[in-house]
Amino acid sequence: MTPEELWREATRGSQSAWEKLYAMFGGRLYQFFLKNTSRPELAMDKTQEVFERLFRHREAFHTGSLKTWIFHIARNLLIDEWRRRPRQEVLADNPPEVADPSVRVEDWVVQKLDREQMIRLLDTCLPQLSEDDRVVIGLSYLGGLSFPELAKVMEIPLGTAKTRVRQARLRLDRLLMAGLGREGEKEVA
Amino acid sequence: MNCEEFRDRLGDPTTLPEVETDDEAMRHVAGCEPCRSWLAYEKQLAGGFTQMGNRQPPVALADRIIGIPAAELRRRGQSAPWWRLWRRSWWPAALAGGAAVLFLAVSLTWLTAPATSPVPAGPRAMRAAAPTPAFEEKAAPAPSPGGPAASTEAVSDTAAGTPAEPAVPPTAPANPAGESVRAAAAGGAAPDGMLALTPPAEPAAQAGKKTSPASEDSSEETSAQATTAFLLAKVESAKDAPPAPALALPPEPVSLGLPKAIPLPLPPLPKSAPGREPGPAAGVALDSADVLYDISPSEAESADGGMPIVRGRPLDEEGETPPPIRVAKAQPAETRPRLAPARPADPFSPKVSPSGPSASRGERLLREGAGESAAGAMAKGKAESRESESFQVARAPAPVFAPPPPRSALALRKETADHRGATPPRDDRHEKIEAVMQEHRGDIREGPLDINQWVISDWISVKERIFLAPPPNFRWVAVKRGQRWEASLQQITP
Repeated sequence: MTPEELWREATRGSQSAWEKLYAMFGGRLYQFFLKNTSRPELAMDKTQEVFERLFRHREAFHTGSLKTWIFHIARNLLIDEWRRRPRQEVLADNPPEVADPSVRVEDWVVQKLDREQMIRLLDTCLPQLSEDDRVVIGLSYLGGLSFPELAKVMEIPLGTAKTRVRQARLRLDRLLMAGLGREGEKEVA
Repeated sequence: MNCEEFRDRLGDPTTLPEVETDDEAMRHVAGCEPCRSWLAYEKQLAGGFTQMGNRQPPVALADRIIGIPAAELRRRGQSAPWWRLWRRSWWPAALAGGAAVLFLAVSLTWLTAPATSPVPAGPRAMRAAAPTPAFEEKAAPAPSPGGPAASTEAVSDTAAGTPAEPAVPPTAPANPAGESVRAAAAGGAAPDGMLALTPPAEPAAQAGKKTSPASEDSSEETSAQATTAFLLAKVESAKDAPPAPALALPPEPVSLGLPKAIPLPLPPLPKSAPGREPGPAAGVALDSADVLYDISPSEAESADGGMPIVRGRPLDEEGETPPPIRVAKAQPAETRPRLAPARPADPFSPKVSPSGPSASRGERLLREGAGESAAGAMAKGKAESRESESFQVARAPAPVFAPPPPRSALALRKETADHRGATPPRDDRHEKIEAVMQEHRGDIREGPLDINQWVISDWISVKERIFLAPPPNFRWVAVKRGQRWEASLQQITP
């Protein structure tokens, strides 16, 4: 069943369809908010707010991608939250030095990391990204949005969306490299 | 495909599975070691994010979100404004239609009432408003020596067809309140308090010329002058007049205001009309309340050849004041129909008991130190009761103390709330997971299990997912023993 079909069922009163929608998007939304706010309670509240808005305005969705709509709401809520508090310093604008720039990130990652370590490293590096980069990475990788969907959610042209993802990825790769270097140093120590 | 194209395709993480099944891309990867490494890195990164997204959010969040539909419907039902109720029943529309019909009927009655329009609206009506024989008979013999009567006497003379000098004195009663010549000339029948506008004497008569009263030209000229003088007086008086009080309430009973009499040039009566002599266009009545005077009417008259303005009330054809038209009073509040509440059969009306999902349930669980099994039991019980109240309309009530199902019945069936029995002991989670794995053994791979995907694939329900949630820092791993799948909890090493 596609998300849109589930949505139609849920709006007709099917509780099980609603639960499946939660299983489909709840975790991703929670992690999206968690990575962007670093506050579990706030992430829970925002995730709940997304679903509340979905249900409250259920008559507004007719066609298109439900995923796009959900993450559009999530992004707007996140921006509202950011407006309420001052911006935080981020590391991504001045990433740490990489020990050996000639070494490629893919070699490091593939050789040194298993999946669990990768998740831990991502947990460490994502908060160091700028807010815009975090949103782009979160929507693209956590939310699973394609480039056209991302452009729609961010309300930017398709080319701009591609460029933003590429630039955010470059910064994330550098942070991962730096993190891997620190991990390697820890292992050596 | 070259390296640049390949990496461009990998730039969109959603296209990664497609790239892996693309023969051309795979041929390139087979011969390009850097791209192979890049693909492995991208897969690992995407896998990391996927694993991150599949992390189970707090149990309390699931409970809060699953209860949103019921809570929202309950909230809407409580706070629905009355105009939302219009959509749900037919009688408000009928009420509105009835009110509209009633209004139309009243309007039509008022518009078509013949006696309510004393002032003619067109040439035909103007002719009807011209002095009737009865009016002339009344007006002619009225003896009014000097003063205000003199002016109307001239009018009477004119109306009688006798050439007369204009007898309007320039210093005719200078009443600051606009008190003007009494309507004695209008037959003396006009009651006090109203103005009757009579046509002024023609300038030719002022010059001492004798004109034929039957002349059409002089009649038209007279009417035109009367119009000009009247409008001039009205405009000038309106300039200096104090502002009218805004939105003055009419007294009860409400008498509909009669339209003002605007003196218009009257067409001559047909000469062939028997028994009628063409006379001046007199007899157009005007309510004095509609004219604001700061100057004496005599000033206006003197400015333009004299236009006697006579106080009086609008007259009908018999010279009597028409009775005021009464309009229907507003209905008292007690007799007004009231909106009824929504019908109980309304599918949108709240049917959920007030004891809905609690946002603090997860916090309570944490405070009490209850384990996952207790959380699952609570979630199952609450959600089941909610579901039975809100969405499943006709369902047989489950027994309160149902006996635990036999172990053979634990093989998971498709999600129906009835099949979710009492909370099994903690060890039963293994059996449940193994039962699901056995049921879908063709799709199970060895290694960590993603039970979120099981929910999406409709293998288990969300409540079962909550029940099957591994303890913190543990995950489910599938292990194959011969032909049989086993589930085990593996600790996640920090």
